Amino acid sequence: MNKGRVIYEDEAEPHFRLAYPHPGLTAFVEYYFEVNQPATLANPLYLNALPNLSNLLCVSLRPQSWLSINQKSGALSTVKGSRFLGNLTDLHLSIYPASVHEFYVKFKPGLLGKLFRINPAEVENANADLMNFIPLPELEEHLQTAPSFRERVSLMERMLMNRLYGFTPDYRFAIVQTALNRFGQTTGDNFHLSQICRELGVSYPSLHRYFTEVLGYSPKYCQKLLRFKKGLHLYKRHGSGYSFEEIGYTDFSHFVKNSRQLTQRSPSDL
Amino acid sequence: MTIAEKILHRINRPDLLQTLSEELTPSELNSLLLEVFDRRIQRLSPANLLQHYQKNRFVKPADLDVMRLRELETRILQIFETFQFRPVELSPVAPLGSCSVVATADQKKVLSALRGTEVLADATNALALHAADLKKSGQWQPTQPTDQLRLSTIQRHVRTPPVTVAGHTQHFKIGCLVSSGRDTGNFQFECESLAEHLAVMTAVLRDTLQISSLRFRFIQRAGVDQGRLLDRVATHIRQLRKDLSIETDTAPGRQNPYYKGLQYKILITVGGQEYEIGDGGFVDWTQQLLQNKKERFLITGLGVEQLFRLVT
Repeated sequence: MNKGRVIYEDEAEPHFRLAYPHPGLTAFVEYYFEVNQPATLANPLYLNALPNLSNLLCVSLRPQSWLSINQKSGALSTVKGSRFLGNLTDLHLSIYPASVHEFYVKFKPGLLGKLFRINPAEVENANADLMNFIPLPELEEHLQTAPSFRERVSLMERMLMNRLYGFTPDYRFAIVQTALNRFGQTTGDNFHLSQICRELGVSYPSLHRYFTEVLGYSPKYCQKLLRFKKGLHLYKRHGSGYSFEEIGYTDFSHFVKNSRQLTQRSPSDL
Repeated sequence: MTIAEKILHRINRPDLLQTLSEELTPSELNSLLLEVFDRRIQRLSPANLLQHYQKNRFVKPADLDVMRLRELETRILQIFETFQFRPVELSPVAPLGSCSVVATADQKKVLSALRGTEVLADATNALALHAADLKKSGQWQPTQPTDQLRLSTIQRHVRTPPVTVAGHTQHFKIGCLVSSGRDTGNFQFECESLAEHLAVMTAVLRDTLQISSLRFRFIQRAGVDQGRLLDRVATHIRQLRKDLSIETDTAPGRQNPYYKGLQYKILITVGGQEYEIGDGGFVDWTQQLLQNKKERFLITGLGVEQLFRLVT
């Protein structure tokens, strides 16, 4: 049964391209990616989007729509045109029929909320017309006519440099980003939140408050999401024999239980 | 002696049927029948009308949650449209003979009406007429020989035979897909169009409604190349979509001349019971309508109302 699959950043795909940002933008942008699917309607592309903290800017390069299905609630959205996509609380299955070509910017968690003064809860699972958030009609047209992914990345970077010029993330935002980076790096025994708090020089209640303000979630929940993404990546590479204790799980069963909690599926179905 | 012959014998007008059906033009017959109905209605009181409503099995509303059914319909139509099957809002009536002239349907199973119409009994026939009209009038023109005209609808159907299965009603909603194209050799249209219909049905049933037991059964039917069609199409789709469950039946117990070469059924299991939730196949209707043997037409019908009752 085809239940879709998760594509990781290090996978080379003919219909999936990825580029990391200019050093001046690494504080704001995770990466840029493009889905270009020239297949037939008879054999659409199925991709899974895990619950995450990211906000995406999606620029439609062809007028073909695609489907996004919330696998917990069954809610279906047709995605057409350029979109602002909020962070996901549930697993979403994306079905791309023929001729889908979309360019994405994946922002650092919480950045767009800070930049546009949006309450994080308002963009949870958002799937809205991009023009309502960031009116960029000329940029959209330029991106649609740019001949390559590399040129689209350059165009987007120029726009972001202008937009973000002078924007300095505050102390709380910086602490949250540092903590998120630490969640991603943790191996062995150094994944306890109390230890991370000590390293960052903040108390847990303060860290909890910063996370709630910037992302709308507790540090523990965010750590759980990032740990699961990493765990699934390792599971795809090494199978159930991997030592899941290395990334903070009690054992493989703990990882599977986490998978069911977050996605309602076992890791092998993702 | 048929019922009609008995009636004509009783009123001692044995030639009346021939006069009405063969000697009058359609317009004259329509005028005559309008007058007949007008006179009969004048004798009808509001109390009689209510009595008729209470007795007539065609006129009662469907007993279901309208808003939730509409939600399901919207989701299904969204999927149809995303897969480039353009949704069409059909008229509730179709030209008289829409089902029985081109297909093996009995006109007595259709609610024939006045002014040269019948109440819609099969939306795929109405879509075939619409597709043929778009092609003949030049409103749709392929840019490549392999281009397909894809249409879809969700429509309430009325059929006259009394229902015998519990839960079935005289009128019901069916979701329909049709693909119209031309033969370009090597069963290309058949392979591509059927794979597309299966992809749409999979997106609806398995991916959106999360019915994991979905499978398709291809049934060989007379009319096209004695089994080569089924073999070719099944091989193509199995290679293309390894995630689909496809069964084949090359020696069906019962013949069905409605479909030409290949019929397929959509099967799901809900609550431990198997349901045939959809049905489709290749038909020669556009060949007949456009008088062109190269025309190809694939239809699919999905029991939306039955599906609604099963999944909610």
